[in-house]
Parts: sequence; C-alpha cells; structure tokens
Amino acid sequence: MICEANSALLPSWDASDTNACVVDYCLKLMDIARKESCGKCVLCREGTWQVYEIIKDITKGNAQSEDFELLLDVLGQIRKSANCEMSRTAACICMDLMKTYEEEWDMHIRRKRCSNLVCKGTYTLYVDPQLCDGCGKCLESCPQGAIAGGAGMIHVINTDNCSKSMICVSVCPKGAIKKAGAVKPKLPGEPVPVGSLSQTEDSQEGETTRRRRRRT
Amino acid sequence: MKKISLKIDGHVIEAKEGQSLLQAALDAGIYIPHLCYHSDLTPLGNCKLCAVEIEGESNIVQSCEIIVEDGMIVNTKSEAVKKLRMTALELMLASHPKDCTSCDKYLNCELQALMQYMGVAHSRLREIDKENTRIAKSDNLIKKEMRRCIQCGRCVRVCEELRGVKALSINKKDGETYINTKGDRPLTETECRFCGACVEVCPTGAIQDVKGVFSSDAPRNMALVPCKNECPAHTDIPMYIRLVEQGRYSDAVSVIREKLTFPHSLGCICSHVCESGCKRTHLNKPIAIREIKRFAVENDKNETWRERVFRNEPNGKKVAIIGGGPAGMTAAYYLTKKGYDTEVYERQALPGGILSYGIPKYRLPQDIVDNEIEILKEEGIKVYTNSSIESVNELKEKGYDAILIAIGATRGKRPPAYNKQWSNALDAVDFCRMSCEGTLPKLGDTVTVYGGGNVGFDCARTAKKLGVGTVRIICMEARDQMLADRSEITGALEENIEILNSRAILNIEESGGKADALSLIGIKSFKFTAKGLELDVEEGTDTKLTTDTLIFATGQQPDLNESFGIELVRSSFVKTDETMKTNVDGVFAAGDVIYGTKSVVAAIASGRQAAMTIDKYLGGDGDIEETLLEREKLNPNIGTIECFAKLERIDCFKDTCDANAESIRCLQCDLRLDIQKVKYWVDPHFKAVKEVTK
Repeated sequence: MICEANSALLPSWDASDTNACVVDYCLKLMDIARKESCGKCVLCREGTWQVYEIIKDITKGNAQSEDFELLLDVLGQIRKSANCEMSRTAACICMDLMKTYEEEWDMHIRRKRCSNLVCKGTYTLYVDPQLCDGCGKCLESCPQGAIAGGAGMIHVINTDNCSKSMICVSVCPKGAIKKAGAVKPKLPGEPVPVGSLSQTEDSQEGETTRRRRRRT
Repeated sequence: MKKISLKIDGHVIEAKEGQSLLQAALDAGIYIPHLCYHSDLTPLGNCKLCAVEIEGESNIVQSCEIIVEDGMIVNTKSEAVKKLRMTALELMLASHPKDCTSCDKYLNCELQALMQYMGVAHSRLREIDKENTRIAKSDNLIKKEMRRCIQCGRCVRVCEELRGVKALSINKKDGETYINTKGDRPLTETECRFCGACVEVCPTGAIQDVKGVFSSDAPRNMALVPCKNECPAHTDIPMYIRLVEQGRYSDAVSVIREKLTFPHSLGCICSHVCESGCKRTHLNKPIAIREIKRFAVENDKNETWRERVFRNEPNGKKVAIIGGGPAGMTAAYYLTKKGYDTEVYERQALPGGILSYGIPKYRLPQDIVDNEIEILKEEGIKVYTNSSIESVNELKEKGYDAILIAIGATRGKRPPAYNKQWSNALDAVDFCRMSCEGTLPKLGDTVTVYGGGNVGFDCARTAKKLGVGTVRIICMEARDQMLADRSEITGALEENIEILNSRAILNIEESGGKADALSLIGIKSFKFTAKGLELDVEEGTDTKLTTDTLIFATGQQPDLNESFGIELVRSSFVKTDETMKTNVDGVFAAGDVIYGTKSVVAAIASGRQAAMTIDKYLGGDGDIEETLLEREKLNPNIGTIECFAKLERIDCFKDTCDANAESIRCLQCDLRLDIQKVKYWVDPHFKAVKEVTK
C-alpha cells in the first residue's frame, strides 16, 4: 500500500490574480488534498479533511473566533508529521498563505467578509434594477425558485432561499445579477415594472453606501 | 541473540536485536499508546499515537517504525509528542460516533481506552460525517458498523499478511477512502475464509462477530472454537479436521483419542453436537465432523497414538465399576492407566452398554464395538460379564477402594396412564435390546412408535428393516421441532415410514390383554408441568388407529431402587454432588444414571470426569490428560480457495478426495487464538518497568 498522491496535483496560488480570494483558494487546495489522500495516514486522511471543513465554515461565514489558531495547529502537525509529501506540501502552502494574508483571513473569520466577494457566505446576489429588462431567463434557471418576477418586471432575488448556484449570473443577458457584500443596495421588495425606479434614487443610494462604508 | 540496551524515559531497558522501539518498550512494561500497530503485523506508522522523540533526531518519529539501537535515548512523553498524539486522536474522533454506550465493544474498545489514557474527549474539531461508511454490509457471521471504523488498516493487513487472503482493502469512492471488500462485494463472494482474524484485530466496534455465533458463557479460548466447546469431551476438532485434510489420518486419530475412548463408534453414531455449534452453519452447512472422524479412524494405518499413551505403575488400589457402557468403560480405561486395578461388572453378555444393546446394528455393527472394547481392555481392565450387581454393599464387602455406578438408563419410561403390561406393547429400550440380541417377538403387520426422538426412529427403522408393512411414528412435536436428527427423519421418510406430527395418544383401547386401538388427537402445543403433561388440543381432530405392536419411545430412566443402597433422586436417578460423589463414601456415579439419556459422547466425558474424581479421591493428582500428538505451530497463512463460501457439505465420504474436500470447508476457528491480544494501558504488565540494573 504505497500512497501515489503527489503534490504536483495541487493547484498553485496566483498572487497576481486580483479577483481571487486566498481563503477560497485554500478551500479548494484542501479539498483536492483530502480527495487525493490514500487514507492510510491519519494526519492526511482526517487532517486535510478537518482543515477543509474548518475553511468551509469560514467561507460560509460560520467561523469561530479560535479557528485561525486551530487551523495553524492542525496544519502544523500535518506539515511536520504526515507520511506523504502531498499533504505536507498542501499544509505548507496553506500555512504560508495564512501568514502572508493574515489580515484577509482575519476579515473572513471575525467580520465574515471577503474582499473580492468570492466566498459564498460573505455576499448576497441581487438583480440590478437599472440593468434588468425583465426577460425572465434567470427566473426559469433558478434551481431554488428563489427569483420572483414576470414579463417586463424587474426581478427580485429572495436571498433567504438563494443557494448561490450562480446559474442566474451566467444566463442573464444583461449582466444584471451582481454580488453585494456587507452593504446592500436599495432594492424593490417585490417585482416592479421595468423603468419604474428613477436614476436619482439610485444615485442617492450610491452615496449612502459610500458614507456607510467610510464609517466602518 | 544480541541484547541491546537503551534508555526510555530514564529507564534503562534491554531489547532484542531487530526489535521495534515500540515493541521493546511494551515488552519492558513501558506503555506507549498505539492503535494501527499490532505485533503480528507490519508496522505502518499511520496513527501517529506511538510518536516519540529520540535524542539526536530533530523530528518526532513513530516508535513502531524505528528499530532499536544500542544507546538510544528516548522520550515518550515530551510536550511535542503529546501534542501530536492529541491531535491525531482528536482527528480520528472527529468522524467517530459518540454513542459509545450503544456500541457492543463498549468497555472492551481500544479507542475508548486510548481516550481515557490521553484524556481526550470529543473535541474542538468539526464533526465529520463520512458517506462511504454506509457501503459495507453485515452478513451472518460478521457484523459491520463501519461508521465506527478509524481506518487503522489492521483488518486489511491481517487478511493480507497473516492469512494471505486479501479479501479486504482500502477503497475509494468520490474522494473518500473507506475499508471494505475488494470491489465492495459481499464477503461470501470474495476470497474470505471467515477465519475471524479481522474481527480479532479490529480495535473498535467496526468489525464484530454476529451475536449468537459464539457462546457468551464459556471462556474465550473455548467459545471461539464452538465445535470443541460444544463437544462434551472438548475434542480438539479443528486440529483433527486439519490433519485429515492433510491426509494424516493416524495423527488425526491421536488427536481424537486424547479425549475419546470409542472414536470409531462415535464416528458412526455420535449425536454430533459439535456440528450444531459449527460456525460454518451460519454460512451454509456445518462441517461433517462425525464423518471426518469415522474416515480418520477407518484409515488409521499406523495407530501412532499407542506410542504416547501414559501408563502408570500399578498402585495397588482397586476400583469396581458397575456397568460396562461408554461411561463405565471410559472410567475403567483411564483408571487402569493411572495404575488402579479396575474391575467392570456388566449385567449383559457383552460390554458396550448402549453401543451393544441400544443402537441398531445397521447404524453400528457389533464388530466395531467389540474391537474398541478390546482396545480398551488391552490396558488390563477386568470385565465380568453376565454379572448383575443388586446392591453396592455386595461390592463394599469385596474390599474395593472406590466404586463407580455407571449403569445407564435402561428402563423404559411411559406416560403414567400407559404403565400396563399389554403383551404387544414394548418400551423402546427393550425393543432395541431384543433386536440387538435377536430375541424380538413377532411384530405383526403394523407397528406404531410413540415418540419422535432418535430412539423412536431407531425402533421404527428397525421394524421396517425386519419387514413390517406399516410403520408409523406418532410425535407430539411439529415436524420442524422434532428432536431427532434431520438425517433420521429423511431416512425414515425414504423408507416409507409414516410420521404423524402434532398428535398425542388420548386413550388406548385394550382387548385380550393387548393394546388394540389408539385414539389420537391433534395438538397445537404441549408442555410438561408439575401436574404432568398439559395439551392444547385442536378440537375435532380425533382419529383412531389400530396397531399390532406399540412401542413407547417416550423416555428412559435408570433401573434402580432404594435397595441398591444409595440415595436416589427423581425416583431412580443416583443423587450426586458436583464432584460425582454419592451419599456413600467411596461410591461415585457417572453417565446416564445421573442425568438421564443424553449421548454416548456425553457418557464418555462423564466417564473421564469420574476417573479424575476417583483418582483424586484415592490420593492421585486427578490428571488424565495426554498429548498423543505433539502440536506444531499452526501456519496462519491459509491462502485462498476458489468459491470457499459456497463449498457444499459432503455427508458421506467415498474416498480420500471426499474427506479432503469436506475438511477443507473448515473455517479453522482455532487459528484466531494465535493472534496476539493487545494489552491495554491498564494491564498489570505496565504497572512496573522491567529495568536492567547495571
């Protein structure tokens, strides 16, 4: 029983990609590592899985305050004592990125926020009322039935039901479906006819947003 | 072998060259926690619990993987080591169920013991639910609760390395590894030999024996080998089956003779409770143990057992044995070998008891019995036949140092209402005796046997063989609850014997001193209470039958009364204490006369017990055990056999091929006892370090 897992399978972190999230990358890294594990060594089999679960909670906005230390602890043991090079390398990469981007991790863990709105727990999806033309494609595509609307109406996403499958984003011909972080734009509570929301209201909303952001 | 000296946690200990550091520490009484390590298997260093630090090495190492070196200085309890162990155990527990108390391994679980040792509770880590642990399914022999699996891989290694079977592996599905059979097939469709090694090494409750396969009230080393445990004489059955498989018939007989005095007769007629215990029953059918025994005895060319039999010098003491049946002759055999002057008083013309006068000749030819008696008599037993003893006092006067009553249960026992002397009604025990002697009266055209046990079938089949046209058995039990062997029932049906199940005789009409017509009634159930037999009758099912001869096969009791001079129980049984002593000093009893009709093998076991007891009573050590075949170390590597789980039972052997094919079906339960038991940290072995003082 010789483990065939190899660190060449692990994706590498592209520091130049300004749209990427380091936490999301680590989640994918550990997901690959745990699935590549041959299952023999406990640190590889259970350790990478545990790290994956903790990071998954972080990306979902369900982190606990001690998770950063817990991750370093488990990863440290994997790096030092795991049997195979694959999991040791994965742990090493993950730990390095935690130290280099500690602020970003901290923001994820303590404030449930992701700078680039990559991690699912840190944003909601909304239909930009200025761009939506009421074509209904998103409504039909939503697996959760979380989008309300009708012909010629501005569609509205019920964020409680939204699973962030991102299918609507890809089908919208207008690019009207967008992510919102901590600050939510003012949106109609229910579908209204296209064009019924005035430009001025929107620009005012934009200013409120900026003001609020400054305060935080 | 060169001794290596090293220092662990400040203790100077000695280790064997080439030994692993972990094993050396454990041997010396220093406990290092470990889980995936097993002394019979290749160490892997996967569980990280046996981590230690060695002076001069920068990294923590797994002590199971390190070979001891002279002068090594080892620390098993450093902070770094403890931290790694804690993390490793916490990680294992993250996906392990928390309901310890509902697990059958509760309080006998290595994982639980380790949690206690390290003080780890279910912890700060995320709980992980593993999907693939639901794949493996239990079967009739092995219960799988794979959600309790911690993937230590011991089962996989034991199956591959120790057994050479490779039925198990670490599988992977959707990126999740799990332990199951290769290709997720049911065990019966794999190479599995059902040896139980995987169960034996599993540290948790993931792989267990199905409850009920092994007896729970016997000691472990007996319970795990059910055939041997069930056998009243505890014959080493797996061993002789193995020898027969190898064609070593004489060696097999030596093993049989260590415990049994009438192996050939038993090979023909034993009630074989061993087979009902056989673990293979749960797979398809039990091993034909009795037939294997018969075949071994009949093919024993060298009788090598004779070379190793113990014989003590005569000790000048005399023992009388009343009754030359299996119990009496067995006791006489061992007592003679122990040096006693042993004299057997047999009422009949031939010794052998039930073997000579009870079991029909078509099942057990007389020459087999005669031959086996001769073998026993060679030791110097004096047998007085046609010598009926009416009272123990007769013998007391002759100066015996001890007396054994082993007269069996030779009187028929009928339902109380039918204790009349009808000229055409016989008790089964008398019928069988007369048939053996050739003194049977005319039976007529119709014979009815009341009672569906093995004796009833003996009577019915004997009558049929004598040419009686209509033979029927009336039996209170339903067909599937009959006490007789399956083979007897099918044999009788093939011979056109009628079996009337769930019926009782309500009344017997007589005419001219003969039992003439029988009134039968259908019954739903029956039970024996303090008031006697209670029937739950089915109304309107009365029938009437006429018969020429009626045979009561409804039980037997000893032919004893108060005038015999010892205390009795249940009107005619000898009262004994647990050491087989009667109320009269120096008088013992063995066999059916104590407990009623059981079996020949039970009587032999009882006879052995009596020999031990009497020897002790007369100042001996009570040891009659003998090793007639020196055991070699068993080869744990059993390898694979094509379609092993599906191999069909062979009831009767034509030749050595059949004997081999049947023997090979054995699951070799005894091999499991050779697997090392893991010592828990609380074991007394770890109370003190075996230190070397310089």
